[in-house]
Amino acid sequence: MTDPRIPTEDFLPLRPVEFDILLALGDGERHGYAIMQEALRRSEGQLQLEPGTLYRALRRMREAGLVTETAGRGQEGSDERRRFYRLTALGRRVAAAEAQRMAALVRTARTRGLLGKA
Amino acid sequence: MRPAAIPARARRAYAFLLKAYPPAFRADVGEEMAAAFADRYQDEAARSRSALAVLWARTLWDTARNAIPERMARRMTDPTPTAAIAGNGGTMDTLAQDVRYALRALAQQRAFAIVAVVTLALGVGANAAIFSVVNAMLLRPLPYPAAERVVMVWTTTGNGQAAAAWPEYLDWRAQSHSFEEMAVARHQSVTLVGGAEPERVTGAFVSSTLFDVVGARPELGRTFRPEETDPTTAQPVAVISHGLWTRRFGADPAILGRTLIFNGQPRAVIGVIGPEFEPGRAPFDGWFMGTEVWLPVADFPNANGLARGQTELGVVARLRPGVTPAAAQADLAVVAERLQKAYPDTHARRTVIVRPLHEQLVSDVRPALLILLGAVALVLLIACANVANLLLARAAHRQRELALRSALGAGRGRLVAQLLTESMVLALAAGVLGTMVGALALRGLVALVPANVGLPADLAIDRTVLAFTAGLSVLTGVVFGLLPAWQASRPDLLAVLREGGRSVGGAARRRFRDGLVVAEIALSLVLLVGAGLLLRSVLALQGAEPGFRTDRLLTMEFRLPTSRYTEPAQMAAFFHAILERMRAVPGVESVALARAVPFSGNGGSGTYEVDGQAPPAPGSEPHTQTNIVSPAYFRTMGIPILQGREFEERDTAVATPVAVVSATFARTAWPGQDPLGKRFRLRERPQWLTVVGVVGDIRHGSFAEAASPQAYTPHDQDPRIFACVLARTTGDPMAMAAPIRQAIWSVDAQQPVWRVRSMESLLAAARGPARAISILIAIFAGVALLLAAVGIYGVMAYLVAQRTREIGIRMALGASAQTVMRMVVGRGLALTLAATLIGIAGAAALSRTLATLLFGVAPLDPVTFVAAATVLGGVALLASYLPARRAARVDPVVALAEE
Repeated sequence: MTDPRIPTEDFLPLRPVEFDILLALGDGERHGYAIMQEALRRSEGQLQLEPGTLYRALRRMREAGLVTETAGRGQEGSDERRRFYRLTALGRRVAAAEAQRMAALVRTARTRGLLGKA
Repeated sequence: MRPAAIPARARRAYAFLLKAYPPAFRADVGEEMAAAFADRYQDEAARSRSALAVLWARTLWDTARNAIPERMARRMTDPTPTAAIAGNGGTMDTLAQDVRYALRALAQQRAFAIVAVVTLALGVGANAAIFSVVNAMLLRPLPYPAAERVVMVWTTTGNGQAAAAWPEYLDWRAQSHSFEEMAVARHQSVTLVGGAEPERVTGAFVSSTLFDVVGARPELGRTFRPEETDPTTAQPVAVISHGLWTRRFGADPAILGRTLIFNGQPRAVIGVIGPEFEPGRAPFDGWFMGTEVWLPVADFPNANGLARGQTELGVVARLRPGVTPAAAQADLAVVAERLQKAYPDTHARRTVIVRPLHEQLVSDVRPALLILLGAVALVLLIACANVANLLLARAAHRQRELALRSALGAGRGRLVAQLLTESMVLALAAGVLGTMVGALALRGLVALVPANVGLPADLAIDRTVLAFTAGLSVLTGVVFGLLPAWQASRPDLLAVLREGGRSVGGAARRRFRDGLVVAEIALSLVLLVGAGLLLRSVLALQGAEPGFRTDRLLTMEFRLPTSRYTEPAQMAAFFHAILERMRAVPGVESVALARAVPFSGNGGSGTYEVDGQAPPAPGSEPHTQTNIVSPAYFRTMGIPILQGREFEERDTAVATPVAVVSATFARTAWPGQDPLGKRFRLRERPQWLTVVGVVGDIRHGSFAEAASPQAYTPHDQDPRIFACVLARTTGDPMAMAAPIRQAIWSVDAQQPVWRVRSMESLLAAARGPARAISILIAIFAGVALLLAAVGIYGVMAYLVAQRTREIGIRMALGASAQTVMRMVVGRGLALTLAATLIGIAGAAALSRTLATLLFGVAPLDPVTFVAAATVLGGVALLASYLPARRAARVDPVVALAEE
């Protein structure tokens, strides 16, 4: 759907909440509450996303083509009204680009001795 | 997955919070958010209560920081997520920052801030004061349990409503299905003897069911049992009010069982009703409210008053839950129809009207109050227009600042938010000041409004009014702030920067400001016309002739106890005795008795039948006002005798029954004939009455009533227990009150006398409400005029300031000071002219709503319209003249050098 030629740099840097959502969707589609739980688990209880923040971000990211809704494809036994979200190809590339940008930042921080012994 | 079973209350609360988001947002993800919230709620609920509290706090915060920017920014979304994010970090911080910035900005322009706040506070204050009255009289429910179900039931034969009769009430009560309970009540003053002086207290003759209908509970003892009030089995008992109990008996619990003498008859006190039924708790005390003593309806002093066909007893009822007044009326109409068939003589065309008690109580004042509310709303609108204008002028000066902030990346939403915050700060300051203005205004208003209008005793700026004022202030802030903010936040960057920040702000903006001024002048004109019409009414009322001489006339009322004056002859003897004693009092020019004093609120009326004319169909008989008067009544009142004679001593009980009629009566009953010697009879009396005199028409109830036929009968031929004294004095009438009262007491020391008043004071009371309303509207119109003048001045002054350079060039090229002045004043007048045309059209459309309040002046009275337009034109001319003079003094050299 998305044009693979869209330069990912246009989206960088991502807002933390957006990066967190992309990360949470990295290993498959999830519904909203599952994203909140995953973010909480991964951050070891540090990142509690609230519905307003989460869904505003999801809407923006959907409009930008980073995520997409999977209509009617719920997991077995799941509540039918739930919408599931998954990464688009563009979303995956943007997440990767952001990760690389951060990695570069981390490398820089390390070489400057900001992270203790390199 | 778990079922999302969270408490319905929590679900509803979150659904409510979701409303903060824009509709499109909600439609998209609202359901998802609610589901996610429900899941979270379950998790947190499983943990602990405090976790739930934290959840709610976080949820509130989440809503505030997302819903507000979502609403503000939705229109300007950028396709890339990050760009949309840039302007929207941390809404609460932004708000605090905006408020700080607004306060700083306003502090820098203190004059502007003060003018704006004072202008708005005037508008808000006027609204707070009038709304307090509207709230207390129209909105607040009556102080009875489930008061909305309490209704009055009236009889009618087609025109107007009348009270009912006892047997009729029994039929209604037995045969209808819409009411929980029904009761009769008749207000009448009652004489209470036992203290230093005989006292008159407010009484009501009631059925035992009244207390159930209004939900009154005794604080001591009990209320009536059905058999105690029923005419066939009545007992000499009484229930008294909390007020009477505390005032006269020191709240002594031993009052129960004590015997008091009411209307000359000893009665046992069986109960005391709680303080919640004291006078002054409802907008008006009518029918059964504000009573000090309740007596069995069986003892109603007019012995004939309970008979079928009479209209003496008010009927009050409580609807069953869910039954509308209309349904109840339809239900009773069936009963009434049955009665029409069963009693064709007394019930011809007689049917029922059911009206909610509250509506009935306030129906007289409602139009006036709504008009006042409309007037203050106009004042506030004008104030808003004025402040919006000030803001626009100010925004023009700030264009460079706004352009700069825009260039630095602030989005339009951000700029609007900033400017709106400033408006809100102004509006809230005005709200606080306005509440104080309102409290003061309310005090003035209470002093201005005559007592007979019946303003509630507890009139105050209460919580409802505060909430109203707060809401109004916020609304005001949005109204006057939004448009200017929207306009100002669209700076034409290039133009502003190119012109070095001295932008003239485009034709569109100028048109907008002109539009505001035109609107406020037009609104002012509407108010001015309204005030003019009402003032002319007051003047007409002041000059209105009641048909009798009003000066040096003393009035007072009394009532003979039926226990001691059982025979008509006894009453007649008493009346003769007191007339003689009163006539002998030095300073009394002439004295008479009457059953009802004009403008006192009392009065009689009934149908009549003319001798020798075919009797009209039952229910369509002609109507006349009636009064029973003693000899010398017409002389004392100064009512001209047009034909024949007035009553004399020879018109005794055994003489031929006679009557004196008014000119209108004579014209109606015997058109084109000599009325003297003709006969007619009143429905309430069987004898034919021979006309012995014709007198001038008078106004009896109010100045506004149409001339009605009036029939007088002599006191001796129909003596009743209730009478009023009318005395024409040589000096100050009130100074004669004590000697005249002594004269009455010298005949009967147990006779209370009350309502001692001068005729002038009765007339002043009759004129009072109209006077009060017109003064209020005149004040509002004055404020409106002032605000409009400020508005015109502001626009013209701004125009001159903007065009200083152009004016300089014109003058350099040879234009005279006069030409310049003409240019500026001409522009002001053009605006005023446009506004006047709109305002006149608006006033013409709205003045009809005033019709019920007008007296002696038509709603479209051309004099008023022209005068209002002239006043406004004069003010507008002055307001544009001052800036014009400044323009004419522009020094071309200085103006051109400014560049």
